[in-house]
Amino acid sequence: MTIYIDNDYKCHTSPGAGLTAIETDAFNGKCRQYIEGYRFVPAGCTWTREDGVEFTGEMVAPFRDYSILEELQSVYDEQQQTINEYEAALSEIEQALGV
Amino acid sequence: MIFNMVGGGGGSGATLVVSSPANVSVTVSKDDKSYTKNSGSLGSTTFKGLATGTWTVTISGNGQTATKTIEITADYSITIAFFSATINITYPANSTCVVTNSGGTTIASNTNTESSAKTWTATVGATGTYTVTATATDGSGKTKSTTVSITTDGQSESVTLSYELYLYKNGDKCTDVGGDWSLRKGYAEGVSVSYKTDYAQLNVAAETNQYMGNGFWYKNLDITNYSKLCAIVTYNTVANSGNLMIAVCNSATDTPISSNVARKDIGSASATVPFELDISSITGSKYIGIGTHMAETNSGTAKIQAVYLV
Repeated sequence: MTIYIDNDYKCHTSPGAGLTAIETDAFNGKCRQYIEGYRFVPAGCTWTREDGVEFTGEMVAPFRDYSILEELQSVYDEQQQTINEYEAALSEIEQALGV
Repeated sequence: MIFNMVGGGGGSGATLVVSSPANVSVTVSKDDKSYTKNSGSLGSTTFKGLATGTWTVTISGNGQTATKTIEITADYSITIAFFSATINITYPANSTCVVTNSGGTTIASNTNTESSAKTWTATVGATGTYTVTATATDGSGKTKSTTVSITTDGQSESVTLSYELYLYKNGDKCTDVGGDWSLRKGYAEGVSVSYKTDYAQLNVAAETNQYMGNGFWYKNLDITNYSKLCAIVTYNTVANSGNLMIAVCNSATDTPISSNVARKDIGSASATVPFELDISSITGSKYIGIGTHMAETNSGTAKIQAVYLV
């Protein structure tokens, strides 16, 4: 999938001014809120944390409280499960009706 | 004959300040002279006009007695207590170190401005549990504490404080931290680990038409108080970028390359400086360690010197 990173290596799910497109499978199946709580530092790049510690890429790490991101993803997964069940039921109905 | 005098001399001569427990009898004596005072609520007693020479300082109270002998040549201060124990402390470079009692009162402190660890000795005057805390002076906020139990007069304890929590170090599996290491061998069980004298060796075997991925050498522990997961990999023939990584996962069955909480790719690199992963936004119990991910027919070996949390 394509994500977009800003100059602080924070992830975005939509393109925008100043953002760099990155192709990665690091966030396959993840919802927008989860992805946008992460930082993606590409190989060859260095990100400096506010305490001065430097981290080189490729690194994928949350900058928002991970426990919150995990909960958001859990809610998203439940919603997706419900959607999948509805779609499966609808498909059965359509098949039964021959449409 | 000793003339036991209440009061403390006077006139010319040296001044002696005795720090002691509060509200005890303090006596200084030399030859045929002896002066006694009560230390009061502040535990500080001053004797003036003392002649030069060897004096004996004695405190008594609550059925206890303690004595020290001092040589006075000029104004002098001593501390005397009924109880004395020592804590020998080694703490990190560029840090301060404080010893507090169970009530939170600072008993002793020390400062290290050097670029290497420093050892000093703190003396405590009572039984109890003491907290030894080191704090970095570089503004990073790094701090480390441990407690020491003192139960006996004359007891001596040693503690070492370090901001790094080693999970593996130069042949030591550090099983006191997170238990022993576990290994998920990955697809076709092609990943193995060999424990050498001073390093751990991860081996990834190649097999045609087998995706030898998703091996994970890991421990499970609470990483709440740590902001960085580090690994020192000094030799690495694991081929292709992204094939070796530091990883944090939610379970032992998660695959580090694709189902991680965080990861830092090592690829085919090696270095004497650590590879580092930011974990400052991750709390709770996680599975952490070194993951592998190999395409078919690729093999490799990695020597792990250390894995630690900061």
